[in-house]
Amino acid sequence: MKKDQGLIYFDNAATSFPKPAKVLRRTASVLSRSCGNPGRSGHLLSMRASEVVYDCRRRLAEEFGGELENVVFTSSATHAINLGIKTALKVGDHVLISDIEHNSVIRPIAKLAERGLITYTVYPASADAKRVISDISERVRPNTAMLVACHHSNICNIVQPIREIGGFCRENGISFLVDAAQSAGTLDIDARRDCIDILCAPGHKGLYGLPGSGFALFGERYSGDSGVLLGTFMEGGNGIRSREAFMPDFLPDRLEAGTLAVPAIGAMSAGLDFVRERGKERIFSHEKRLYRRLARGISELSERVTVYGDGTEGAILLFSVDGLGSEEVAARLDDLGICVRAGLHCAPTAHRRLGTPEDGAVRVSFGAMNTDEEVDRFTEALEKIAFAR
Amino acid sequence: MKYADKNKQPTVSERRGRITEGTRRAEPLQASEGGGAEARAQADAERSVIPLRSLTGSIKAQKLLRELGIEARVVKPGSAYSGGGCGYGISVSRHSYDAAVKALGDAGIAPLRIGR
Repeated sequence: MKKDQGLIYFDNAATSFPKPAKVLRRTASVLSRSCGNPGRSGHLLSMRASEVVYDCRRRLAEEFGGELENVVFTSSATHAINLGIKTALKVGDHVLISDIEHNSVIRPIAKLAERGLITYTVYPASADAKRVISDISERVRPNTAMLVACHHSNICNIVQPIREIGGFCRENGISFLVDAAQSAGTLDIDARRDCIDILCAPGHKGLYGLPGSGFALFGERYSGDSGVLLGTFMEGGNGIRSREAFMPDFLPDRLEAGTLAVPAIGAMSAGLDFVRERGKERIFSHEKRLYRRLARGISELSERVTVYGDGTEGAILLFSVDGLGSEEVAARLDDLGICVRAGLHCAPTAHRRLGTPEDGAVRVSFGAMNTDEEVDRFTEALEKIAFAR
Repeated sequence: MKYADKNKQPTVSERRGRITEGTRRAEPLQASEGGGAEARAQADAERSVIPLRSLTGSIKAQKLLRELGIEARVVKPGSAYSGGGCGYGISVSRHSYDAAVKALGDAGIAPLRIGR
């Protein structure tokens, strides 16, 4: 899809844009040819829709290292995280979460704790495996049942070492939930290899699908007839065992009630195709190169601009302009045709850790479609804003 | 026109002593062929249903069997097959039924019920 003339979109951590042409084609195709209700009927359109859903389960399972029956479709990563947390935890459990978590983790955990159902402890996230395992070890309790880790921060380029954390969790019988909202599609994730018990991701960010899509991939711990039986998150019809008053006891049907977003699921398959064709590593390298270019441009620009984080290259660059609120900067950039996100980015503890101003900071987040020329135009625009007093 | 009630008359399939509801749905990605009710009933009589616990499992089973050269279709066979109400399964020709059940068992896919 073509962007509006001259528009620069640097808000890919919120949702990627533009979507690849094949995603748009696939969405239109599903809507026009395969948009029955999957799992409800035996007629042609219902079965076509079922094939669309099955195909995406298979692709996601292959890509992220799991069984296709354990792919549960959701409306977002937030939905997937809530689903994982609320179906896997039991009363009295203790949970570890990192200090770079998004509110998609903080809020459901805090709510359960407020109700007295669980307790939780925050550990400092780090890319250094030895250090983070040590910090986690110090906080583990006898009743620690789950560890939730944001793989890639949504405001800086901290990447937690999920393979090592997963290994630690597996050794200690702790369920490992990974929020891959910012990493699915760019970083290497293999749920089996990384000992991830619940992998949560959106379809509309690094997988270049439509907003309103996401998934949770459950690992062996929760699968098959010998796995731990998850609770239910939402109950309702799904076309299976309709006479029974309770949800089926197997995945994915146990956790999928209501009509699935078939066009968005089809789009997720096409988005995954796009990522595979272009290559995760290549996309990430491209984003890191854009980061370097922008960081260099900003450093030459003015002491009025502060960049947050430890300088690790990646898809995200967070900054503030001295004397200007973050929303003000974003609004001025918007006037110049540049889309960025300001504020706290639903990650208040991560902002606290980075020491951003009270009203947060401005986030530039790159995607596969961004260019060097856009970075240069952005730098020029920021210069105008920083010096226009 | 008759209104259904719990004392309803047995269906054609039940009178035949075989439940074939839903097996008429052909290849999912192709429109159903014509041929009329008689032809359809004849075709149904040549097929057997293997009920499975989920639609996902049924599509997986269909793909597995096709890879093994066993023609199979996903069907919605009715509550008599699925036990707890609605459900899915696969339809195979009667002569490949045993081979299909064995192949599914080898792949760890357990039918809800075995026996034609």
